[in-house]
Amino acid sequence: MATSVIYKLLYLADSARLLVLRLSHGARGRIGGILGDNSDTGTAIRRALGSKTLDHLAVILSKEEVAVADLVRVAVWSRAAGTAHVSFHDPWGRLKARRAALDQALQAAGLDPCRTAANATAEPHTAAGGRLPCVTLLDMADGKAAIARAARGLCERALVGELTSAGVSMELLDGCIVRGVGVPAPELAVCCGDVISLCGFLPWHASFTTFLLLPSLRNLSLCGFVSLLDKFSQCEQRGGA
Amino acid sequence: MSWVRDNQMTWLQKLGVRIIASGRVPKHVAFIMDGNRRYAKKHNVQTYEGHSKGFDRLAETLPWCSELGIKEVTVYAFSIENFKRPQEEVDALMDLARQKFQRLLDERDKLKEHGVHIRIIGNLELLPEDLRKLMAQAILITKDNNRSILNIAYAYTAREEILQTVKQAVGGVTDGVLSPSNVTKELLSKTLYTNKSPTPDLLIRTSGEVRYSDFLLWQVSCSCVYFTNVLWPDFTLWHLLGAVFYYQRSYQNMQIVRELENQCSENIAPAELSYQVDEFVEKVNEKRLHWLSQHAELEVIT
Repeated sequence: MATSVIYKLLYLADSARLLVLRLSHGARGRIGGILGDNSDTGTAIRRALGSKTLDHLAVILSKEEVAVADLVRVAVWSRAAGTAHVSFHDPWGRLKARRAALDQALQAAGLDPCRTAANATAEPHTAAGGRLPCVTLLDMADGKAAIARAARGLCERALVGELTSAGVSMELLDGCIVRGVGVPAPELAVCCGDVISLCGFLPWHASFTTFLLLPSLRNLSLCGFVSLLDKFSQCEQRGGA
Repeated sequence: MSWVRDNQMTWLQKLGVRIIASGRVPKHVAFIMDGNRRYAKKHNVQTYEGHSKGFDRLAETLPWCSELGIKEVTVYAFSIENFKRPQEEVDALMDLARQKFQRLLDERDKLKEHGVHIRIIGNLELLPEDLRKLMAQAILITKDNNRSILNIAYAYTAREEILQTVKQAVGGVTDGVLSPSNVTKELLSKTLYTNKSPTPDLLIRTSGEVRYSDFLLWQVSCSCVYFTNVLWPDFTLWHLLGAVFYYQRSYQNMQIVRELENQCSENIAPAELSYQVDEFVEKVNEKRLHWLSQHAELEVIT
């Protein structure tokens, strides 16, 4: 009984801690936004990244509702970081439902309309004259299901005698899955909210991705974005567990 | 150090466990036990000593989990990537595994008494024959124990696990047991190395690395992950309680995502063809059991 009361008090105290953290993040965001407008965006972003390359940035959203402007801001800053792919994973597919508004905002910011795994092509985005970064929207149906789709494709080939199980190599499977989704493995995934989780994000792609937590994507400031890149640049990549 | 240890907690630790156990306790926790080498370097001892300390820490962590009510634990003991380390270190790790699994076999009565079920997940074909035999024996002699389950990932990576699963499915189609439309994420889940385990509720990674490092990627797609800076040999009960509290805090959010994942099932094949899937899964399990029996009885030629 007493332990249960102590537990409830602990829970309450932690809720308060998280609330303060979220509020202070919001305040930092507003101050950072002002600073960001006055500084050289590209230089700050590239300096934060250091010698690291960020070819694919994944943003994993959970229950938080975000505005189209929050997404476009990240895509525009990623362009300054030399990022070729930015993907937004929202398990419920709410972003796909707002695709028209997002496309319009992306085009207004000088970027191409977003893509989904369903219209992924083997052809690189730039080969078709596309502008970088290429923005992709993902949801729960693109995670494990993408691997199952690749497996079915290989089974179809086996059925017509083009392939045997011994011929299924890591490289072949990797190629099928990556082509099917249309994005390479991300170097950095940012989980928005209080918890780090894949939330159904592409399991095959997440093997060696660095995961960082961001309390909220809403009104993220340039300072907040630069600070994420700075943290990422300091993460050391070591081999094995 | 023995695999089975009795709990020797202080009153303060017992109180901590009781407080955290008042909340929802995860049924299955996975660990990436990282930091043994850095621990060795920090303490100026041989790398082998760091790994040995890491095993001791695991043996101490299991009773803590049991005391909290965590029934199943999965640990990342040796990645396929670890084969790329210096040969001397790989050999030392294999020797350590030989010693520990031999000890485990010697303690079979104690394991039975405590109801500990050991499973090894990974591509055991990549291991030396004598170690493979010890592991196969450990799995078989503990398979009927059911009070707690310890899954040890050895010669494992998640991508290799998925690759083997896809290969099995392709083999099933070639043999006429399956049709391509049977190959769904549900089928793949049923034929992974971990097909007998529920998905982990919580993944804990020590040593400050913020990556999954190719561990259980399929299984933890909707689990919460706790990254902590402590090196694995320094991991304490308080770190475990902190991780479980973090799980309890995020439980509701993760539950919503899990429910969504369950709703997103792929119903491609007609329901009347589901018997094909069941038959295939049964065959995969039988084949694995046969492989284990064969290797457990194998005479090692020296």
